[in-house]
Amino acid sequence: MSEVVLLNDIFITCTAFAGPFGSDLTTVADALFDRRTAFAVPEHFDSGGKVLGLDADLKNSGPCRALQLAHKLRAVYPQPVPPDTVLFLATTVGAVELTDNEHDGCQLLLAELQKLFGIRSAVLVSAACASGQLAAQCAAQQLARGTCRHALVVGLDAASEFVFSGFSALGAVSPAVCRPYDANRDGLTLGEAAAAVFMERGGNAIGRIAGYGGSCDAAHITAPDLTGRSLAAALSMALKNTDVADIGGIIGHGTGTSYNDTAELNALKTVFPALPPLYSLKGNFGHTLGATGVLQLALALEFSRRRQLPGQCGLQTPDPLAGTAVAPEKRRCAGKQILTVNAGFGGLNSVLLMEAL
Amino acid sequence: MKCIGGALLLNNEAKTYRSKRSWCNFASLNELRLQLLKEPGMAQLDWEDFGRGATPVRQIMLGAALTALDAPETDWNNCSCIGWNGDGCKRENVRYFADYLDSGRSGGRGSLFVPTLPSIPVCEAAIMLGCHGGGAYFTTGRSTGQLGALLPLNGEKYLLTGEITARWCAVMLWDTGIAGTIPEAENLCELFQRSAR
Repeated sequence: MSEVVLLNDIFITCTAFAGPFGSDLTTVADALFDRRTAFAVPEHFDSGGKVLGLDADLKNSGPCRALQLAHKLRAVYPQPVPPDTVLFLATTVGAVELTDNEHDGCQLLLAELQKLFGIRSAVLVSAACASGQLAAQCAAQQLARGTCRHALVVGLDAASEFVFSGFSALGAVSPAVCRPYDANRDGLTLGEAAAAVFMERGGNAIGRIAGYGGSCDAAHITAPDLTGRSLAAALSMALKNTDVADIGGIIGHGTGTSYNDTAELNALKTVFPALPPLYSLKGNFGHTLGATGVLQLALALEFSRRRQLPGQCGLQTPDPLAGTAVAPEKRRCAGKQILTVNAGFGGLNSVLLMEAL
Repeated sequence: MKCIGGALLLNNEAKTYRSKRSWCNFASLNELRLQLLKEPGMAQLDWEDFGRGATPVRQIMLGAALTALDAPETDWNNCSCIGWNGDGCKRENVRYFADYLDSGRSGGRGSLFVPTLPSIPVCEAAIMLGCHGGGAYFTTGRSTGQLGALLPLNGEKYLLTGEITARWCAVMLWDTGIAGTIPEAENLCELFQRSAR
């Protein structure tokens, strides 16, 4: 085995958001606690009346939505970015509308963000819906190893006909709105957002990654391993130096598909004798794909600070596996640390343990 | 970390890193697969997704199988599969959306949509070998040193790194328990050819 890199003095010192609900951590968290949702029927393509989580500020007939989100993120980012910063971008399809046989949508988005932030070095991190958290983990590891001094982690995906049609072809889209952890859930709702966290050694810390873990189901290219065995291994890795009784709450992947939520709940129940409060922000945002991991880890810091989790939007009848861990009303978090979980196509799993400072 | 095995697939040749074996008489990737299935010492692997896989998937699955032949002592359970640079998946993206438009925007095909993530090929390799360590696809500058700076991910013992282009698929297997770093080269194909001499 190789050594698991310790992240003790690596901190998150800045966050920013572009998408529904606002541009700073407090405003976005307030919206989630107020149970606001971003769901609307898109005007930039025909979804057959199905809703997506949309940023109402984006122009429907303007430039590629992903690039609009990138520009919006830059406009709201609140502090200078040192030129030696390394950009870690998590996205699934990037500027997909601009993809052709010569141009890759992810690389186009990466180049645009480098230009906007004045950053020379960049890494694209692609692990399907686990990209965002993995990007943060990789950034923190590089900081800890001393191979970079500053890191800007950006998660960004826009609502596109490309992705909507694909998930529809797989039968994964809810005919109404996603209902994470609900006994009668019937699919996911897609969304769009951009989120950024700046990481460095020292600095004015907002929070830190207290633990991390990852794994691969190696079972099926789209469906998760329903036993949750491999995800449970990633959870255990992240919780290696923590007593599970100290975990205040969990931001789950919670897409609202039958398979994902079942696999996730089985994994969580393997590790936790009693599930702490569980919440999925996809009930507010929809599934923002490459952005979701960065959204989750940033919002985990605010939930850790408030010692509260928002109520679960879309929940009517909790899945018996979840029981009282999920609820429509906000819950108090007994412990300060918040676990955040993502799972993606290809069976990729990512777990981060977050703590506000 | 140190390279303990691997494979390089070119258009008309396949070779292994440690055992320095080569195969030349194949007219297609499927023909190479059929030859490998008859190889003494070839492990029982999960080839189920090979038939419906796009070319990059077939390339990396063959690269992974040859690597398994080259390093049979590997505990695949404790291995992460990492894709890096290469051509990405823009061709698969174009193919999926063109097919969707041709259908009148009414019936995208899930089998064409799934490969539109660049991480899919290495995940197929993970399924084939039973690798549970983790996985991802990264792009960096043209430097294997920059790839090495990202690894390992989760304390795994082995790393299977794969780079796929239209002209080659290079797979190198690293033991993270042996001291050392990934040597510097512009791509894995160059590193393989230089190191395997």
